[in-house]
Amino acid sequence: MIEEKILFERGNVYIHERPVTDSKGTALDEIGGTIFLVENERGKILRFIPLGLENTNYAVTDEWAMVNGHSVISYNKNGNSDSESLSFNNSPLLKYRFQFRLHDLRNIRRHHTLHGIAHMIFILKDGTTLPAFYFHLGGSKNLLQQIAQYLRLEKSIQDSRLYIIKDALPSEPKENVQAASTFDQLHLFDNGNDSMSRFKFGHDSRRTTMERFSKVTHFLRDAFLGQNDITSTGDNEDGGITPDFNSLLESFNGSCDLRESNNDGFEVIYKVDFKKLPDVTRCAPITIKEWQALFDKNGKIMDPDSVKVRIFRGGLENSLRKDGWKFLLNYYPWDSTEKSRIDITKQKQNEYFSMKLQWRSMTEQQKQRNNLFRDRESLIEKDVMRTDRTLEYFQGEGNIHLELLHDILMTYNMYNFDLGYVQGMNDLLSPVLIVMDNEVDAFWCFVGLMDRMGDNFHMDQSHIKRQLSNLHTLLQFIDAELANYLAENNSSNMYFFFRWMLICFKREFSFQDVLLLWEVIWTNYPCKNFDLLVCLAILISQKTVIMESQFGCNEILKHINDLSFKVQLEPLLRQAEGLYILLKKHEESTPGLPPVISSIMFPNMKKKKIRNFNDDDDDESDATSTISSTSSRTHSPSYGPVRVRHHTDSHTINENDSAVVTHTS
Amino acid sequence: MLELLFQKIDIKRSINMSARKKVLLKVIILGDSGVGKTSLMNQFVNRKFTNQYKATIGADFLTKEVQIDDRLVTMQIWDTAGQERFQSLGVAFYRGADCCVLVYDVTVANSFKSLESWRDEFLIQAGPRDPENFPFVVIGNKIDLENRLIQIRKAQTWCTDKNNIPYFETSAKEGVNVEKAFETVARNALSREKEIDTPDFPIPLRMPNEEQQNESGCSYTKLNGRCSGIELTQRPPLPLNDIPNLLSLLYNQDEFLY
Repeated sequence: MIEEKILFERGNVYIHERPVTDSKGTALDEIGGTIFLVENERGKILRFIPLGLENTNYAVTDEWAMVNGHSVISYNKNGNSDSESLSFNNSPLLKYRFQFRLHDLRNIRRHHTLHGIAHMIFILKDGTTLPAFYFHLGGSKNLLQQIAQYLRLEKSIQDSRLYIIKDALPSEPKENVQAASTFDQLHLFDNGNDSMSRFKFGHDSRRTTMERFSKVTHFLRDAFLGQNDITSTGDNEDGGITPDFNSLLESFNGSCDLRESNNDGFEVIYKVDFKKLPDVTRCAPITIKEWQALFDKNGKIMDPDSVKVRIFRGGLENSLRKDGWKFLLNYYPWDSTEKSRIDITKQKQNEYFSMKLQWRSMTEQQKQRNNLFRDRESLIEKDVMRTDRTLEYFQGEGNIHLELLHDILMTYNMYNFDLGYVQGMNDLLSPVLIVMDNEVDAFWCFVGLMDRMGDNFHMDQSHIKRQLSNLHTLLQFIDAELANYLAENNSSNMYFFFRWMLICFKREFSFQDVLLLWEVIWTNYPCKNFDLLVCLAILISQKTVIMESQFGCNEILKHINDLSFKVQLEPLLRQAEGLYILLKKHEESTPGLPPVISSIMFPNMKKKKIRNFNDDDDDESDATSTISSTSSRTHSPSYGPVRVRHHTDSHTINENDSAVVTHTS
Repeated sequence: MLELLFQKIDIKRSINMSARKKVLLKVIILGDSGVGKTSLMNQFVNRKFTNQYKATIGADFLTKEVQIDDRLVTMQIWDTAGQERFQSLGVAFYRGADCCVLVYDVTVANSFKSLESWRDEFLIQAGPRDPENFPFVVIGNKIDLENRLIQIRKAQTWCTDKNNIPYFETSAKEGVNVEKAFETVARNALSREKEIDTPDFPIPLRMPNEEQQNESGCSYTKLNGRCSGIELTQRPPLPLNDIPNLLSLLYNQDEFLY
């Protein structure tokens, strides 16, 4: 037990979580608790204890796991550690206990709206990002003030809600706080115009000093590196005149209220567009009634292209997914009639079971002589056991659905033995199986999904690497400053998006969000690279945090990993589409996009010129032309319209091209 | 009064600690898919186990501070994907490692056989100086299961043959021996520091004391003088908008010596 002093305490603080189930099976959406700032011999510690765990004995001992292990264990010379590990404790609340040393804090985001509930997000030095704490009865400001007594906080110039920790203040004596603090730190909580002017003054004076320094010291160069020098033509047409980066950021954090940014004053004028994204329309999901009206009397979809656009705009109602996905995943051709679909189902059923029999009928001796098969079988068995076990559908020992998962993956191995089974395929199959709730349908939809995604899993990983490199290339055009920052920090390979891209965001969003995001992407509207734009929108939303926290490559990786389940999907889709619209406008203006960007985003632009589509809406016609002009090698002609391969030929990327990107003007 | 006492102790501790550099140890966990790499890391760092982990995709790390005798050490533990084809991406993270933990599952014979290739692959990719003496630790995990296939002696023999790699048997599920194993990881990584006192090649200096200070004022240094591109560039740029801190860096002040 450690003696400790409570410096700050505030109850009624909540974590808004995706539904989790507690031991009794009731869903918890909000986890309430108390936030403490305490001091003990280890230093000052910020701690969140969920209601119901106050009395557990780890509350105040160092036995208690800290966030990301920011606790200290001591090993003495005899090699005995403090204690044996704690293991099982079944309360689902345990994972909502958080604590970290103030010393490990890197920055704080505090959001407060005029009438809303304020919340704070803490980001640690190694990039770990805690969930947002909502202060239902206030107190976030007090906590911030309290923290400001021990750490030197500085408000970000880019983002008025971000407080960067500059360094620790010397311990205790309050008089020193004044002496040690500089610039705007003292004005953190002022409101109104007065503070505005002081902020500006603070900023200016720093800049002046910086400029003087730069004359004598070469290493100040860093500060000026990465300044954005793309000023693309046609800025004004794009309506990106009054860029407001905050609005981009806000949209990712739910409670969007621009009034606050006015309070804080401070508008930064950007030279480049892409900051202010055009508004786009998004709709509610397609309803059953709406869906039924899409078919003619033979059960044929009358206008497949507009259906795709409609799905892109709002997705499908849950009950429609079972049908809708079969079209989206090319199990049913878009031009099929009800009768032909019955035939297809029958035929596919036979096909499936004969493939299933192939591996089911293998004898032990046969397997003994087939190393590759055995390896894959054991990998599938291992992974099936750890696929989405938190979802109700897969919960419990001896769950029957796990068996289906296993059988489908084994059968896919026979269907496509060259590719076989690769980790991540289980993740892709899981939602498909849950939606279909039928072995055969799930298999064939999975086949359709793998036609899109299969390239990601190839042995040499070249496809996924190319996708990641395309991401960086696009970023160079859209936000050169951020792209340069990543390059300087050894992150231009964008590996931090590896998991996001490999399994198409499967692990980054709640189950329901994944269903929507996937069907949006599967429409291939407005372009077949929409997933790249989704990644870019996420990354750009984190620009300020990453750059002002001066994250290196480890911290960036950690930070992006920790964004899982924290990004709001709808605003994200708007941002991604906004990026698309701007790229499209650039492409159509003269001189157009740099070739390297064009080849990633609009690989079929030339073919588009000879299309024969009714183009009322430019954007739509592009999508449809993309769909009609690409062909697939993996697709059997008897089996529906041509599939767009989820693949970009980027062999045109070379040094010269990327030079074009960075210096376009 | 009591509080005052604590404060004094605190300051004293701080000065003691600051007398020696704070050390960051980078540890890589390797081994076949499903042997329990993620579980081991989480048991060690968070003292938690759940059977709901998913197969690791990509890479992630957790950090934990441990005190080894009188030294405070930050362990940065990297968890990687076990499936072979994802290794080409993982290697980017091998560089600059101070210790490598090789894990197998005592109930899966193949996972033991793979140790050899994991070790070789690591040495090739990470390219550490003095590969013969690079610190490995081998962990046989899942001893809580009954159907064990690899006998202790067999594993120990292998480790002895490989230049006496320390060997531990653990249960990440029940938290058995996990801390002991990681203590050895930390100790062996640290002991290398003493053996090698001159770096292979000097770290290119861009400012007088870049090596010791990061912008937060706390000093991390890589052991062994090895440096990869990653560590060099991951050091944050100077706090240019922060003159007092900048000055303190220039004069090489310690954060505790205000």
